[in-house]
Amino acid sequence: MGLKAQSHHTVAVRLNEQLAATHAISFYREKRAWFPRVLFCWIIFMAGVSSLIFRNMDADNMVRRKEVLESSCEQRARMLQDQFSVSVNHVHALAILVSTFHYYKNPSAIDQETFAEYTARTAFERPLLSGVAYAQRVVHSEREKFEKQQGWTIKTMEKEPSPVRDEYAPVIFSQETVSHIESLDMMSGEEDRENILRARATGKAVLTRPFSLLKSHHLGVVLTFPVYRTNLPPHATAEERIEATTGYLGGAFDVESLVENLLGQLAGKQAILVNVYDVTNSSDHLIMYGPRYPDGDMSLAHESKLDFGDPFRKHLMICRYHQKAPTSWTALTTAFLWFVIGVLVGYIFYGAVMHILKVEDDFHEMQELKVRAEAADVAKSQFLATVSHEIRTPMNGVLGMLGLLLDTDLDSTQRDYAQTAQACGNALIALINEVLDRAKIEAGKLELEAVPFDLRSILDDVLSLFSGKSRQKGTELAAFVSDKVPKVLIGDPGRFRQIITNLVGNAVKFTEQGHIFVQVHLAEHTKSVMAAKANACLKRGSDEVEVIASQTQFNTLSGFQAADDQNSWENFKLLIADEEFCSDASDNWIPTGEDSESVTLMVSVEDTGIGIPFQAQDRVFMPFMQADSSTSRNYGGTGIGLSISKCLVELMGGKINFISRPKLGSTFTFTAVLRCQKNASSDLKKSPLEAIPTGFNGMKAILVDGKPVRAAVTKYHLKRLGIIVEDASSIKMAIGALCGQNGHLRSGNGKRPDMILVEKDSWISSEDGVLPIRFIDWKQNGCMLLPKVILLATSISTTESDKAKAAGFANTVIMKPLRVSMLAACLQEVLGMGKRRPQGKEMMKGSALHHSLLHGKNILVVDDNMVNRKVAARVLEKFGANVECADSGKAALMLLSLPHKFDACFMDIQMPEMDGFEATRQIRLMERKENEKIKTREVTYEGGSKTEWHVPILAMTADVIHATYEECVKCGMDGYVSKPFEEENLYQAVSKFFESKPI
Amino acid sequence: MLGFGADRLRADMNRLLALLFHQGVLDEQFLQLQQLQDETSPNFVFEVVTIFFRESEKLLRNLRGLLLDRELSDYKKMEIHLNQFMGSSSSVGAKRVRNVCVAFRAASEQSNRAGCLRALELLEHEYCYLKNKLHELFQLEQQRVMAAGVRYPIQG
Repeated sequence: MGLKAQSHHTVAVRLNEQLAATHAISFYREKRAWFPRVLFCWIIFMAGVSSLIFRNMDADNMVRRKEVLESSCEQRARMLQDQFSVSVNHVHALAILVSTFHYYKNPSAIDQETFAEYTARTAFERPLLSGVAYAQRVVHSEREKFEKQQGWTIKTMEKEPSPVRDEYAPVIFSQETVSHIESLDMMSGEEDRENILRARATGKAVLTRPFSLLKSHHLGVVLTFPVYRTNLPPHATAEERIEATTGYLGGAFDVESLVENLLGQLAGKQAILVNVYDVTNSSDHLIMYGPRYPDGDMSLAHESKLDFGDPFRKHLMICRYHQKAPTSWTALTTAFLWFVIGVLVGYIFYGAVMHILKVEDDFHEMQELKVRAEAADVAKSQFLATVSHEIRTPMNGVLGMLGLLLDTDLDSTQRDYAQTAQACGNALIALINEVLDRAKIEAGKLELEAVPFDLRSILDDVLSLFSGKSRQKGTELAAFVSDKVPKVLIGDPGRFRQIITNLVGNAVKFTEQGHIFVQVHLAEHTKSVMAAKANACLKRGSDEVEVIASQTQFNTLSGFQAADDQNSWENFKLLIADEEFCSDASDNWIPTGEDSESVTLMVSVEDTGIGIPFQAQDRVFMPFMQADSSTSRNYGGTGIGLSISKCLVELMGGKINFISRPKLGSTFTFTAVLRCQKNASSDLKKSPLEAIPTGFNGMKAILVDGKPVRAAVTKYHLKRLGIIVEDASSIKMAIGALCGQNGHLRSGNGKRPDMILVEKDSWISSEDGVLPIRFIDWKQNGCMLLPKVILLATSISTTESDKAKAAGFANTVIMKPLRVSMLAACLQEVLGMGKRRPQGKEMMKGSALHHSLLHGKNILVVDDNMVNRKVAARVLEKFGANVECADSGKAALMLLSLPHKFDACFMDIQMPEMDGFEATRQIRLMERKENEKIKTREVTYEGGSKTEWHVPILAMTADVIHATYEECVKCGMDGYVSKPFEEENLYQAVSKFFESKPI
Repeated sequence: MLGFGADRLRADMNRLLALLFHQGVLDEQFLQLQQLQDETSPNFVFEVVTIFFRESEKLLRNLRGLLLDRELSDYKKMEIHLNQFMGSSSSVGAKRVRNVCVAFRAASEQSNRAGCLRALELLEHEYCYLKNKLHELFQLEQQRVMAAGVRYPIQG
């Protein structure tokens, strides 16, 4: 349940993380909503800026345009004015001419002809004047005389004889251009009359308002100068002037054509419209030039004053542009470009920010997904672990019940059914355990132990496990450990065994004939030997290789070809030879240097099975993948084992790989980094079952075996027992050696061999009877110290064994696979030195083992839950233990105060007041204090055997997976059993502590 | 006749047990408990279950008290009680009671008062059911032993 609680917890944590992530994301989203608005504002701002720029530039243009207009207007006005005044001056000069030559001279020097000619020739001086004329002042009294003198009557403007008036002003001289006005009375025209009156009063040039001229019907003005009879004083009064007036000189300005001419001389006349007004009457502007209703650009105009020399008349020139101000393309383009640049810059920033946001969003999303995926992965592993555990519990029930059922009276069919069910259940449990392992590895919860162990005994165990199967199939199963490998290694024996078991299991499963051969070497050593061999190979050349290849029998363990020829005798010999050379040193293998703390082992498992198809080789280590996944395959299994092995090997810091050739077999090789024990074997808890008897030390044996690899394996096992072995490739040779010894002592070890071990193959291949006859001879001769002859066999039939007996072999046939304990037992039996049969593990079965394990032990059960206490106590009692109970941590402390009689303590973890962890800590503290005292000899116990207090404390918990185990170890517990009690679990936990104390 | 009665009683017991297993009221732990019973402690199962009933009734009382007593329930204490209850029920193999305990504990972990009350109701119901059935079982057992006991002298 604790597991579930924890997963709840982790899920909650994940949820919190997710919440935090969503917070961050919503913050970004909020910000994100602002960015389009910011962009919009920026665009508006840029539009404003660019319109400002446009207006600025446009205003500059307008100012310039205005200036141009002003200057050109002024220029026109001055030119007009200048031209005008030049003309006026000339008319003035004409007036003086007339007065001088017409009146001061007598008779007059001027007549019409002269005047016309003169004026015509001086017309260039008066370009603005269409013509000049002189009119004489004639009062009514003098009219008749004047008319007679001139020969025509005075006419009005309408060319009719003038009516009677006070005075007249008939034209007497005229320029040819205006000859049509001769004899016309100027006083009859309204404008002219007014002009005349004003001119003679002021004595200056006066102008009429603009009016349509007589002939041309152009607009024009008439300029009038008075001509006086006498030279007047400068400040003469108006009356004096009127009195002195004798005539008037007038000229008509055809303003329209004149201005046109004038403007024609200037550049850009089309661009600028000019209007000239008479503004004497300020309310009514009289137009002198230009269109009456001016078109063109009305927005801009410039007025320039014109002074034509008549103070009474005021004139004005107004200039306009003909066309409206053209739109300023430069300004527009510039502004637009600014706008575009601004918008682009804004968009780039916006895009960048949006991209960053998007990337951030994606990142957060990915993170969230990652968290989810991880959570899912952990959840999956936890689920697997939980489910596996949950399945295991009822399965244990099922198996237990089946076990009990098998103990009852059953007929053979029922027994068969029950056994099948039990086997299936066991397989299922094994599978579940594998899944659980895998889940644990994936969840990162698998931790390797680091305890000293003996690799060789582990190999023996594994071989014994598969010996039955291999014997059934008739395959040879053998293990060989290099002498260089230290006796005691530190690592996780359970996991190491698991890997080897898995590999050997696979090998056994897939091998029908041949052999399965497990080798352990030091990785460095193997490498160096292989390198040396490769060199040698190169030297030897190829012909010998061919010879080897053509051999039908291969130099392997069983003579079958193996996938990896590394293990053939050629290499093996080198490895062993190297070992024998320094075997003395390797026995007490003393590490030197820094690296020596750790050793890298290279383990290879070679089989001659069906091999792995090439196309399946790359997914061998993938979980649940099998070489042949078809439903009709020949071999069962889940395919999870190799992947677990791979994980375990990697946890051990090694690598696993394989070489496989279909139909030939496979060789799996893995390396593992283990530490080695410095003070070898002092600490190793060896069970008595596996302890190697020392009684064989120094014995001698002759081994007859045609196959060198197999011989090496046998030698290895015999060596472990301390037996000195000599080789003989055939029985004859062995006998020869024996005879030689019989006759005379050989130097060195003059001892007679104690035994002769004969491989079954060698015996069968040798001629029948040869050996036995000799032996029988010896027997009859009464040789006392005859060596025992022992047959080694993988499998043997009854006829064969009878034959062997008849042939003189000792009673025992040593069955392969060889194991030290088994070998020792057999030899003891043969040699008659065994007082006691070593107890094989096979002898103890089922709960009998448990009974013996716990029998007579004093055990304390601590649990606050009465029911649990009762049940636990009962289970333990059933195993033969004496149980005492305590209902709290405190009570347990009281009971365990030193000295006490308990051999072990089962402690519940969850208890009120003082929980199991705390209680254990206190107990351990108490023990430590006491141990100090023992060391300093303050306290001694009877018998002095008690040198250290350490009561094994096992936690009872319903929760086997997560951190509990570490916690248990941390506070000084020795292990745990799951609740409710399961026999198997209990056995595993308890066996660690009681194995070393046999009954 | 009496021997036949004992056999019939045994069959009844087995049927009852099978029913309880089928309903998920009990699990294999109860079988293990029965395995633990032998000549040296012939009443082991009965003893354990009696203790279980005693303890459970105490715990149920406490739980009800905790839930009804105050407005603000003491969830911590409740969890301790529930752990106890779970431990003992899994030891006797009372599977359904244990499952309800798990749900109850989840509710109390979330301080879900309504959920706790519901779970308590359910727990009480399951407990009563279990108790009745086990009593029935023990009665059958007793009758069977008596029947068997009567038979021995006849055979003897």
